Amino acid sequence: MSKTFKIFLILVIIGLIAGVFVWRWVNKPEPDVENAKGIKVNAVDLYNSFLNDTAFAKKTYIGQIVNVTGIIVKEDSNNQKQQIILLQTNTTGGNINCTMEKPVTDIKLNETINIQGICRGIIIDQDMGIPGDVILTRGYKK
Amino acid sequence: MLFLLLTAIVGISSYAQKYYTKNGLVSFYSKAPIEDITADNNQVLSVLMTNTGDIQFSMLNTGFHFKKAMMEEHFNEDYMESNKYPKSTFKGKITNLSAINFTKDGSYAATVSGDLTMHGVTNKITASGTITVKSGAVSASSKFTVHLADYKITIPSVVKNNIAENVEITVSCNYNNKM
Repeated sequence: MSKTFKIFLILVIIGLIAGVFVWRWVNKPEPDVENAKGIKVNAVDLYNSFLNDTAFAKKTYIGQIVNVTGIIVKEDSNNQKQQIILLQTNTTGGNINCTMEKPVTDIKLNETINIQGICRGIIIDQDMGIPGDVILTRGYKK
Repeated sequence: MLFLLLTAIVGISSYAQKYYTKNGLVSFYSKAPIEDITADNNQVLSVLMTNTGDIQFSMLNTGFHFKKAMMEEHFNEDYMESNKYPKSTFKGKITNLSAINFTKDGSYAATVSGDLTMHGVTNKITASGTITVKSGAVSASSKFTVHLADYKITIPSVVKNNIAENVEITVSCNYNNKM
């Protein structure tokens, strides 16, 4: 085996390995929200932590998979026909706003439900005069 | 006299409505030579005051959902810097409010002007859209273009063929709550 061929072979192997890494990086799968072990918290505590200790809430919950237990106050759907479930907090008009990845068929208002999803933060705007919601996306009933 | 006063108050309050949604939709579309990128945010807070024409939107940048996890990561970490600038907002007014009858079913052309804040930068924009009134329910939609450089969002030259310099923003809100 000539020296030139050996160098060529090594370069091809390095190129292939780099290609695999790039391909895996570009096609990184989304987190398995349904089967992950989410941070357990109830709806009232989750909401209050965003109101009362924003720094802690941001560090603990934003971008994380959380497992929220709360009382269903409303069911709705968004513009893309995804199911929305609102969980009660102790702030009037403020909810945990869950966009469901997998719709729940047996919804009963005022019943307790356990939803696992990704916490995106609280959407609140003082100028609008409306209590904000804590946003959960990619929700699954647990 | 008291009856007339009460009638007037009821009349005014039934017209002067604050409509809002917490699940409005904002999508963006980037068309570039290598790939087209779309993302949706279905948790947009929006308020519409039918008596003054004030209209506001507020959304978490982390609420945009992409087809690929890698795109979402880049969007939040490299372009929008969502940790530093978590929200994007629009605060403006319908400039042709007199052309819209919120008490009569119909589809009305609307022009909205105001301040769009993204990535910590605020610019004045004007966009046209449609307000639809149907059986007391109000919805709004609009499509406009944003030049990323205007918001100090820089695209590294290595990915300039992947992301467009101008992105198309689509807004669609059903104002199904009243105050």
